[in-house]
This record gives sequence, structure tokens and C-alpha cells, in this order.
Amino acid sequence: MSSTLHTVLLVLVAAVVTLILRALPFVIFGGKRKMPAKIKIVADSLPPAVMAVLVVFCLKGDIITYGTTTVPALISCTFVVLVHLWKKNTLLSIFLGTVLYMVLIRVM
Amino acid sequence: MTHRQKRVRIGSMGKIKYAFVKSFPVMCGYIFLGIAFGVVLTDAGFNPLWALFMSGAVYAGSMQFVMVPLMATGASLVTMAVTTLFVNVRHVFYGLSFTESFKKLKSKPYMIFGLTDETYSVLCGCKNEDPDEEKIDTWPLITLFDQLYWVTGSILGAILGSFIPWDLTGIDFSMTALFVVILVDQIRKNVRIAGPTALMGGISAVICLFIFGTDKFLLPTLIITVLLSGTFSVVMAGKGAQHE
Repeated sequence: MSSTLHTVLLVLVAAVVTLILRALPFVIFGGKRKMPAKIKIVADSLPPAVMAVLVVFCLKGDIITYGTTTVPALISCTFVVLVHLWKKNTLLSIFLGTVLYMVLIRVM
Repeated sequence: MTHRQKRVRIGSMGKIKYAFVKSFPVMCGYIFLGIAFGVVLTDAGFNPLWALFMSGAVYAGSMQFVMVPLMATGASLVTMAVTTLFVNVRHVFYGLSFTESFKKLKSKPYMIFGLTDETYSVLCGCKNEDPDEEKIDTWPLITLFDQLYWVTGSILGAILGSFIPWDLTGIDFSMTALFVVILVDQIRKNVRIAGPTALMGGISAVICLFIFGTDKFLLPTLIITVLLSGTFSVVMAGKGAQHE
């Protein structure tokens, strides 16, 4: 088998497995079968919990090893929270937080 | 829950504007992460067409980085399948939030295909501020924009390689900031449930990070988080029903 064909197949395998994983909840609960009430409550409670996990996921390198970007990342995250609680403007909070982070990692 | 077909009619320009504003933080993150991916891919000896193929067909940020060495060394199809399963299994949990919502959309198959971490978080944000989903017609556009940013970034990176003149290190913090902002909004809207469940997610993640390491902590974290926050929300719902 030519190596190009094999590589194409490798990409397709990754594509299909990824799609199956993304489609699984829809296959189980997306049709006529209604989601049981308890599972619905659990599913509705997930987004904030998962979002908190994703924040840690973004910061994993800074958390597990104390490096030059750890303090800038923590300061910037706190700053984003404060700006957002104050102005409630998503793009402004993200923009100011990112600018602060980019400045801090260069000067700290 | 009955299907409420109440939707706001937004003109196509209005939709494009709404989708662009909502997806803007993802643009900052995806373009630059995409460029990074494109650079890694060409360094491993693949041409820009591969970037287009992968970002078009797989469309999974972190997985695509993991794929590069597997492709370069000609790993077996089974290895690729198992690796994909482990890296991307978290996506199983994302769909749970949208099984009802996506039923209202003609482009449901594409929405499912495009449900990345970032698109998931943006759609959670949209749902949080628009619980009746009156603007759901903009969701497919948001999903499409996100993928376009990712495809554009990865091709740019593959073509330009490391010849990018500006030092943009740190701009991918916009993605972290996006998650933080959405989390703040979710907690502010429903402190009683979202506050404790977010805390459970965050603490489980940090503990698992130290136990399992950066490459393997996400899956155990998500399982523990679903169990903890699930139990908590069911108990709270039971209490709420008793008080009524």
C-alpha cells in the first residue's frame, strides 16, 4: 500500500471516530426517544462544570509547572473575571485580558 | 418540553453580524492555533493540502496536533482509531447539552460534526443569554465561521511556515479568556446550581491534572465531573420539588 494512501486512510479514521463520538448523544437521545428527566437535569447542569474544566485545560501547563507564564496567566484570568463582572461585555473582557496577558509575558 | 417555534426573524446581514461577534474570540484563538498546527504539519514534511484535508474532515484542534507524528511514522489504522477515541472522547459529553436544540435545525448533521470545544462553549454562551433559543438560526453560521477560521489558520501556517514577522506569542490566551467569560456568565445567571458545579469541575480538573498529568487528565476529570455535578443537580432538583 502506498504511504500516501495509508496517510489518507489515517486521516479518514480519525475523522470517522471523531464524528461518531460527537454524534453519540444525538443517536441515543436525538430521535423519538426522550431524554429521561434525571438525565436531562444532569445534562443541563453540565455546561458550567465542563466550562470550568476547560479553563483548567487551557491553563494546564501553567498549573502543573510553575513557569514564566504562570503568574501572567493567573493575573490575566482574574482580570478577565473582574472586567467582565464590571462591564459585562464579552469582547471587551476578552480583548483587555488578552492584551494584558501578552504584555505581562513580555515584561514579567 | 414542547417545541417552541418562536424565533426572531433576523435579516441575513444581521445573522452574519451576530455570528461574527459571537465567534470573534474563537477567531483569535483558532487562527493562531491553526497557524501553529500548519507549521507543525509542514515541519513534519506534509504539504498545505494536508492541512486543508485534516482541518476540513477531522476538525478537532488538539487531536490534529496528535495526528501529525502518527501520520509521519505511518502508524496503523487501529492505533489511530484508539488514539482518536482517547483524545476526543470528551466530545461525547458536549452533545448532551444540545440534543433538543439541534432538532430545530436543518443543518443538524453539520452542527454535530462541528461541535468542537470552542463551538460548544460559544453555543453554551448563546443559549445562556437566549434560553428560548430565538436566535438559533444563527448557530449554523457560528459553527461554519469557526471552522473557516480553523481551516484558514492551518493553511496559512502550512504555507507561511515560520516566516511570520510579528511576535504574536500569547494571543491564544483569548481562548482561555473566552472560557472564563462564559463561565462567569453561567455562574451569574444561576449561582445556586452553576456555582457549586463549576467549583466541582474546576477542583476535579486540578486534582486529576496532578494525578494523571497534562496528557491524560481530561477524560477522568470529565467522568468525575459528570458524576459529581450530576448527583448534585439531581439532589437539588429533588429539594426544589419538595419546597414547591
